[in-house]
Amino acid sequence: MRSGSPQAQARSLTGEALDWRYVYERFGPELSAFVYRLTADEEVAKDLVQDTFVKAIRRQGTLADHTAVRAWLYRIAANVVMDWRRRRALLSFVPFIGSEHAPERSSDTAALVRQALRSIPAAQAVALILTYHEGFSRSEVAAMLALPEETVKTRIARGRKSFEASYLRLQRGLAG
Amino acid sequence: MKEEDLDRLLRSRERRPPLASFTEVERRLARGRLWPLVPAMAVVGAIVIGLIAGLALPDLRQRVAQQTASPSPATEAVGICARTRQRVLGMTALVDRAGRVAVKRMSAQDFMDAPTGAFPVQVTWRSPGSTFLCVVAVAGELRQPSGQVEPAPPKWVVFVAVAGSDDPIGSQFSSSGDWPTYFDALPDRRGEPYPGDVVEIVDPQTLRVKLWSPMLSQEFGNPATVRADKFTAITPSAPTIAATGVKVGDRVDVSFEREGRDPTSGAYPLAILQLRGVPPVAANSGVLEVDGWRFTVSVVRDPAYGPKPSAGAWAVSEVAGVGVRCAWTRAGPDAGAVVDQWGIPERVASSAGYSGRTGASGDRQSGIPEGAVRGNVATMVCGLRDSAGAHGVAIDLTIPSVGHDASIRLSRWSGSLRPPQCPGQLPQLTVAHPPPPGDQPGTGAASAEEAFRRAYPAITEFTMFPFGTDQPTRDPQVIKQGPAWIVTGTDTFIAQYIGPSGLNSWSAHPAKFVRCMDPPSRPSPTPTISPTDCSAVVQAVVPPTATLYPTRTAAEVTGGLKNDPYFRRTLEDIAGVRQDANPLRDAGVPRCAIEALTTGDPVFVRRYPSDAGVWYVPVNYGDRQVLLVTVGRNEGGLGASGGSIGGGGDPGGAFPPMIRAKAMQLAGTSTDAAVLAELVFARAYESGPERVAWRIVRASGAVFYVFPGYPGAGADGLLLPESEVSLGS
Repeated sequence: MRSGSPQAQARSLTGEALDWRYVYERFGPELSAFVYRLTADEEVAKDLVQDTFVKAIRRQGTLADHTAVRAWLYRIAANVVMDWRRRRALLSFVPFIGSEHAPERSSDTAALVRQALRSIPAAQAVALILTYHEGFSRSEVAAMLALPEETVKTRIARGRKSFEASYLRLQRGLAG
Repeated sequence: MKEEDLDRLLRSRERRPPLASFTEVERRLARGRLWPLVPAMAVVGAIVIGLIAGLALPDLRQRVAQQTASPSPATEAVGICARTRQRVLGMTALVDRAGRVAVKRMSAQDFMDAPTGAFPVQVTWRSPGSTFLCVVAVAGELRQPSGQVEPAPPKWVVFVAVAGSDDPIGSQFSSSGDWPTYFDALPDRRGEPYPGDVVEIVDPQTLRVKLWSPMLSQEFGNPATVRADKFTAITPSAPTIAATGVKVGDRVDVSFEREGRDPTSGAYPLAILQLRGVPPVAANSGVLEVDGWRFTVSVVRDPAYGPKPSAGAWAVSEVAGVGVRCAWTRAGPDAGAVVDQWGIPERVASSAGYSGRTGASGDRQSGIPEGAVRGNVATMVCGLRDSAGAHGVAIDLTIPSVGHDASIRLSRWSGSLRPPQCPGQLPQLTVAHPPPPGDQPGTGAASAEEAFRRAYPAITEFTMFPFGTDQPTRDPQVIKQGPAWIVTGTDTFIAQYIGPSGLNSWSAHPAKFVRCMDPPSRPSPTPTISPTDCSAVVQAVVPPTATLYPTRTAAEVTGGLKNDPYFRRTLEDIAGVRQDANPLRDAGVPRCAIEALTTGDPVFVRRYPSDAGVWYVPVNYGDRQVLLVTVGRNEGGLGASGGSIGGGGDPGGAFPPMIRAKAMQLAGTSTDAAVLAELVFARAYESGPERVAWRIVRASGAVFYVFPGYPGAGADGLLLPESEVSLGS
């Protein structure tokens, strides 16, 4: 059964092995949006979503409860993005890398949101997006990231502050 | 920006960029694994194998670091075990398919306290309460480690690593059951903040905290600077850190972010700050300020303490179930370099490697040290030494008994050593003698003080105590019966006389207190030679300075001793040639029967890595060892008899205290056998007294030390990796 309904999802995901093509089609698009929001780069997002699934398939045995696959994929994706951001931060000190796509620059609100999220600490951005964009509760985010709930709370609070400052700065920069 | 506008922006839907086809994912899968093999784990041998932290690990860490994409959790301090989990799952040489994986973080103390059955932890922790471990359990399709002897493949494995460092402590493979049941009972402290001590309040929102965990200290600073803001969850609730009333020396639990570090102050943003404060001083605690240092000492009742090796040397205690916590803080600025001091008054050791110590605060928990107990009171010293000298407290602890709790009395300690007090017992001393000049009747000094000044003219400041008292005096009338205990700095000496007191018979010797001991039972002598026969014995003439002879080999030592006047003098004392009563006189040896005394095989203990060291030679009467004499060997291969161990009925102990074969068996494993063994002088845990230990080299090159007879360590002694041992004087 390949229905998109939650029930169908649960039934199909509690079998012996996951139907990864189905999982990819089912959750790939929303993960793509999640990753894109964090990277502000379509090509990178496409690449990192594939990375996410390759890692997930490799470690599928570590998923005890197949009904939790969505949260699990987000967790892997968040880690993949944070790794990418760390690597990118290192590479940015090295000239002539050349292969990186230039981040988008647009006056579009969505683009500004992406840029602002990209400019704040990755851990804060992940907490914000998982909470506000993906709709996970604070406790779900805490479980997903193996953090105390208080830490998630402070990340969200600090993230909001950082995001606001960054967004307004970008907005002013464009206006100027 | 209004809150609702901010919410709206954050909730705004993101478009979904086009996905690659799933075929592309499959293609990537087919190209190979993301994490290459970790061949170093092939060293994991039999079905149950303990890996000592640090062994072959630099290589493993290097390979893993080079070959794996760094996985997630560098973003949060508390997610430190996620890295260990990823490393374990990346061990494709061992883990084919992980069916179930679980991770927990806990202190080493938690792990030791848990019923982990036969888990092969061979490591002892200096501070198990503040050493954090990551414990990873994996069930699924696992490969047999090389050397596995069980017919069935393992169904689960538990890996234990030091949190943050990924140093494997041990692993346990099993084909019994589908899951390690004990794992479920282990505590999980991943969500808990880390403990530390406040060492400075920088401003109302910024603290410098000495984290208890050495790994975290290494990563985030020692101390780490942390900063609160309005988002920090502060307990007890307060608008700022300062408003909680926190003080230097207080214990706090903190959780902070790696990211967002303030570039100017270097402060990490705090997520959680929980003020634990300093526990109120209980009846079995004491507080004393000494020279601007505040010492808080309390009795710790914990069954882990006592003479049991499994708990590690930190818990070795002369009194079962009792330990002592000694914390100190400095109100002023950090004093910089200080050296931790701990021990009994007669033997205080500098334990510079002790982890819970800075120039502003220190916190140690230890068992009652060896030699501290006299009757129902244990006396020990806790302190520190800085450029101005030693500061600390002497702790008199009344040992708890049925119906009576422990009590503590503190007094000032300033580095001066007190003379050994052994009511009803005898002090056992290690005396280096004979120290020329003045060890013959008529050739010595007229008093104890004169003997000491003559032997050590460079030492001008010293304190003398008549033996058996702690009242210092240099009055010859008070000391006339001898001996006298002499203290100068951390060195101790003994002055005693030979023959009638006062007739130029006093001499002084370096002496270290070892322990109090019961008087040896005195076997009734059956002299076959009358005392008058001693007149026929030609006594050795001891020159003022020793003549060195070759001592490079055992044969040279045995040969050299025959003509060594100091050794001859020792034999004369054993046989009571000059006086029937003297410290070395063995009542079981017929008086004057020097020729009946023989020497056993010399055993060499090296002062590694130099060629110098000490030979230990048993002196026997028949098949009974009477004492051990020591013969030095300098780097040039020369030496002379320099002292003795035992005497007066004490045989000095078997030497070596453990045979080579057993030491090699203890320090080797089935996959990494011991190949070399030699006796050396070493200090366990970089502190405490120097001891004779077996230095074992495994086939892999890894070095371990076995300390036979280590207090509380049982018949197998104490096994330590090289990193936990210091060499040299």
